[in-house]
Amino acid sequence: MGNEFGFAPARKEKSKHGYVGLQNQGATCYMNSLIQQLYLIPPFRQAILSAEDKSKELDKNDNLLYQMQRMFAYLQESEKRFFDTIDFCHSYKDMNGKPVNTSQQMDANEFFNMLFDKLENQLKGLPQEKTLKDVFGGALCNQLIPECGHRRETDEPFYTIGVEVKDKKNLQESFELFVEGEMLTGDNKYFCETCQKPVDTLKRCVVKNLPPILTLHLKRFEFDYEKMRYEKLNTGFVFPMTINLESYTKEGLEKKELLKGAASQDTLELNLLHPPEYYEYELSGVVVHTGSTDFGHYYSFIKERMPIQGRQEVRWFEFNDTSVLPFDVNQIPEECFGGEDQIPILGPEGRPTGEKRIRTRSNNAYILIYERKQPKELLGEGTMKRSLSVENVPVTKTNKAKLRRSSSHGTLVEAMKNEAPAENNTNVTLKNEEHLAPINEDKEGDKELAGNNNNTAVDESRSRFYEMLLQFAKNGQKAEVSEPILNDIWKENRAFIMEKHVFNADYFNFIWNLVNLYSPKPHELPREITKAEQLLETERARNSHNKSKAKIEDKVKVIKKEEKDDKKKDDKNKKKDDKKDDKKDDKKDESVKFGAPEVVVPKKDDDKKDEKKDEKKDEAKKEPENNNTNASNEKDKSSNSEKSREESIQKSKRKIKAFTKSEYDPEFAMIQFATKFVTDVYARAREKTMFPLWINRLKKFYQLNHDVSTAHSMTPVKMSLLT
Amino acid sequence: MQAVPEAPASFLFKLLLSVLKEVDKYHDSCDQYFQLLEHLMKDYEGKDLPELLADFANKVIQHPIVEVSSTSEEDKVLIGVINLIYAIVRKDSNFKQQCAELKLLEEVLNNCLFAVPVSPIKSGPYGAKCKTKNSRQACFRLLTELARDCPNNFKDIVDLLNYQLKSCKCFFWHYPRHCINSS
Repeated sequence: MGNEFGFAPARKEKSKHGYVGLQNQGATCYMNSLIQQLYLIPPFRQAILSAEDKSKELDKNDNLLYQMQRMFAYLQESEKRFFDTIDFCHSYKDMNGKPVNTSQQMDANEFFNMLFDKLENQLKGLPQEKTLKDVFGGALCNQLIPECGHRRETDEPFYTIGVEVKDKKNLQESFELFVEGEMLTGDNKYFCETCQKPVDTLKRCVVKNLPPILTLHLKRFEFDYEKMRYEKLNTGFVFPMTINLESYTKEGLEKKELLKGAASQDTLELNLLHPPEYYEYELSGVVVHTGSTDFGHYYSFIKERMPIQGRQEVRWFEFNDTSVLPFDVNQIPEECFGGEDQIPILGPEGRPTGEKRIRTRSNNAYILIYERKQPKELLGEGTMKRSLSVENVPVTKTNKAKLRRSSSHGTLVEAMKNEAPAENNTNVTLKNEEHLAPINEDKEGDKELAGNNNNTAVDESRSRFYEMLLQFAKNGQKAEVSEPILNDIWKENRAFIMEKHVFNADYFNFIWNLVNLYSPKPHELPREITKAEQLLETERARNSHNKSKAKIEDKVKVIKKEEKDDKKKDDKNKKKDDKKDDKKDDKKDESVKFGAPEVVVPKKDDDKKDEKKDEKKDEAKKEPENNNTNASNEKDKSSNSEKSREESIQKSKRKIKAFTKSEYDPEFAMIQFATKFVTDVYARAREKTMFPLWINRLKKFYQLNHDVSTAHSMTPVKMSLLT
Repeated sequence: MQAVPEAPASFLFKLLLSVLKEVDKYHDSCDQYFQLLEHLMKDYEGKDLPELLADFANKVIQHPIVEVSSTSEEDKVLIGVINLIYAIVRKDSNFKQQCAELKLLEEVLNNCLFAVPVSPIKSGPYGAKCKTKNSRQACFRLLTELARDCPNNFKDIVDLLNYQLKSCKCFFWHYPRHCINSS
C-alpha cells in the first residue's frame, strides 16, 4: 500500500546515524562536501553558532554568517534527512557581488579560501574573531639562510597548505619537496645587507606554527601549457592515517641540522618549544573529487570527532549531498589514493585471457583534513580541567615554555611538577629563545618573528581550541543555537514529526479499520432485488404447479447469464464513457485524472418517505395475488428467505442501536470522524492526487453507509468536500 | 481431597512471567520470550488477569523512550508488553473497559504513537515511544481491538484522534515539488 502514495514524509527522516545531509542546488557539491567537513569540527561549529549577528538591520537573506548559522543549526537540530541550501547559496556572493551561480561547478579549495575571507570579515569585532586562526590558522616561515649566518625570516599565515601531487608518490615526499628550498647562487646570489655583499643563500619555506586542524590542498589541477587548459592529475598519491610533522617544521629542520653536526646523539638534548604530541596528526576528513576538470562531483569522507549515541568508537561517514552513509575507513586506499586499476580482459566465453587493461581511477582525494591527536583524557572532565589550569604549577623562568605547551596536555602538567630543571642535564641545548635572538635584533627583519610572544599566542590559541572542544563535549555534543533559529527549526520539526506519523500507510489502515468497526457489513445491508430473483419468484408463483423445479432453475440460469452479459456490456460502455470524460477532464483539471470519486448525494428524507409509500403500495398489490395462488413449499421458502434477509437487516440495525447511547451515537461519530479526517487533513493537501486510494476508500465507505448517512442528515456539502 | 494439578501452560506462563521484571536487561533478544508468553496467554486459566493487565499497562506507561528513529532498532520490550495486553483483551473483551480506566488509551495514542517534543531536546531519544514500523503496528492493532465492541473506548479513541487532528493545523503543505519527488 505504501507504494501507492507519492508522499511519504518518513523517507525524509534524518539518517539513523544522526547526521543531516545537504541538498545539491545543481552543481553545489563542492560547497556541500566542504561545509560538512567544517560542521564536523566542533570548535568551529560552536564559534559560528555562538557568533552574535550584529547586522540585524540588514537583510538576513544576504547575510552569509546568519545563513551559515542557520545551516549549521539545521545540520545539528533538524529531524529531516537534508537541509535545503538555497538560502545559503543566495547569501554567498561571487566576485561581482552577485549570488553564486548554483549550476556552475567550482573548485572546492577556491570556495574554502573565499568563504574564509568572507567569514573573517564578518567575524571582525566579535568575540569569535580569532576562531578561524585558533582552529585552522598556522604560519609558514620564509627563510633566507646565507652562508654568512645573517638569517632573514618572514612569517606567512595560512589556512591551507598546497602540496604537489605531480611526480610525487606520497604526502611525505610532497612535504619534503615543500621544505627543500633552493640555493641562490651565481647571479642569483642574495645580497646580505649586514655584510654588504652577495652570498650563497638557501631559500626555503618551512612550517612555523601548526594549527589544530591542518588543511592540505592536493594540487591535482595543473595548467597544461600545451593544451592551454587545466588538466586533472589522477596519479596515485598515498597519504597516511597518522603523520608526524616535526621534520617539516622550523624547529624540526633545525634539530636535524644540529644532529648532523653533532658527533653523537647521546651528547645532544634538545629543549624544543613543543611537546612531541604537538606534531602528531591523524586524518579526520577527505574531500574527494571524482571526474575530470570539466565534469565532476565532490563528496566527503569524515570521521566523527566524538562517538555519539552511546557508542564507544568514532565512526567514518560518507557525506554525499543528501546522503549520509557509514564508511569503512579501510576503503580509503581504493576510494581516495587515485592511481590505476588493472582489470583482467575477458575472452569471448567470459574467461580471463591473462591480459590486463589499465583503468585510471578518477576518484581521488583533493583536500585532506588532519587533526592534531587529541589527548585520550580529553573527554574526561576532571583531567581536562586540570590540563587547562596552570594555577598550581610553580612558575619559574625555566619552565615558562613548558607551562605554555602543557596547556593542552594534562599529563604533562602533572609530570612537570616533579620534573627537575633541564639546563643542568644538557651538553648541547637548543633554546629557541636564545637561538632566535640575533634575528630579533635584526631591525630589518620581521618584528613578529618567532619568539616568546608568538609562541604564547600559539599556546593560547591551542588552549581556546581545547576549551571549545571541552565545552562541546559538556553540552552533550551540541553547540548552542540562538533561540529564534532554534524555535524555527523545532516548529518545523514538530510539524514534520506529526506529518511522518499521519501520512503513513499503517495510520491509514488503522483509521480505515476503526471507522468500519461499527458499520454494518455488506451482506447485512439492504440491497436491490435483481431481475433474476424477481423472475424466479414470479415464475415460481405462476408455474409452480405446472413446471418442474429443474425447468425453473434452467430458465433462471439463462436470465442470470443474460444479466451478466448486460452488466459486462454496461461496464464496458461506462469505461469507454469514463475514458472519454477523463480525456476531456484532463485538459481541464489534472486532479480529476487520478480518480476523484463521484459524489454520492444522499437522498432526502422526503424522497425516502415516497419510496416507502411505493413499497407499501407494491406490497398491498402483491398481497391479493399471493392470496389467489395456492401457497406452495417453494413460495414459503422464498418468503422465508425474504424474511431472513429482513431479519438480518433489522438485526444489524438493532446491533447498531444497542451501542447507541442517548448522548453518544457511534455511527454518527464514525461518519463525522471520517469526514473530519478527510476534510481537515487530507483535503488540505495542495495535491489531492497524492491520496487517490484513501479517497476511493472513503467513497466506498460512504456508499456502504448510504442509509446511515441519510439517517443522520449528512449534508451534500460535506460530501462534496471529498471531491 | 486431591488438588487439581495446574495446567502445564499456566505453570509455564507463570514461570516466564516471574522474569518479566528483568526483561529490560535482555532488550535485544527478548522478542521470542514475549512471543511465547503471548502464545501461552491463550491457554492461561489464572484468575489474576486484571492484576496482570494493570501491571502491563503500568509497564507501558513507565517505559522510557528507546527508539531513536523509524529505521533504528525496535523496542522489543514495549512491543512485547503491548502484544500481551492485546492477547488479554482478545481473550476476554470485558477487560477493554479496564484498559480505558488504566489510562492505556491515552498512553498508547498520545505517548506511544503521536508524542511530539514541545521544546528542543538536548540529548537522548525523544518524541513517540514507538517509531519503528513493528512497534507502531502493535499499537494500532491494540487500539483497534480496544475499540471493537466497546463503544466507550471507541468514543474515547475518536475523541483523542479528533483532538490530535486539531493539532495538525500547523502542517506545512507548501512542499516544493522537487522535494516530494526527489527520493
